Amino acid sequence: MFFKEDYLSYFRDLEDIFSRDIVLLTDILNEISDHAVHSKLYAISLDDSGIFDDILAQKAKFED
Amino acid sequence: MADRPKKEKTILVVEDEEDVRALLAMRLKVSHFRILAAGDGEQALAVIREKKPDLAILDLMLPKITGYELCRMIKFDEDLKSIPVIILSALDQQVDRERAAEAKADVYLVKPFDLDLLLVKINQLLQPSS
Repeated sequence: MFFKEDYLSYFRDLEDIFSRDIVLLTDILNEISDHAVHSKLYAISLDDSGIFDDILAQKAKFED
Repeated sequence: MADRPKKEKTILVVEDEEDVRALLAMRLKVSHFRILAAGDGEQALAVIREKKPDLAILDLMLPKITGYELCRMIKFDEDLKSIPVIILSALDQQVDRERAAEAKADVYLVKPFDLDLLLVKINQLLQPSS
């Protein structure tokens, strides 16, 4: 059975994973000059940033 | 990972290139900042006056109002002058830095810049003064 704290912990872990992912992607995007690769990574980073927002919204539901 | 602070600081990103603006916003967001964005100087000024962000990041080459002019408008306005301003520029001559200093910018970063360095500067500027 899952309790509120379990869900909170789960979303915190997800937040951490996606934070690291976005930091990595933005660092690469800031360095890369190849337009084709930049476009692909930019699209991925936008998607992941949207997922990050969703994670925060879900986490907020379990916070006091 | 720590939960977000109850009162997040708000940063205004003023950059006319959409992908650069989005990149900065993404990076700042995962660093626990709330982000406002503007694509030109006029829009930025309206947002600043209405929302009073905790810090502003201005690109230098902006449509309508340049980054220098916008910085000057912020720093010479009694209601806005306490807002720290970071200017981002591709120009790296001494004269460019002097112009930024005359406009009372708090930090002048030359592109391409390190995102971690930007975050260090932001956190330094947002530290409460002792």
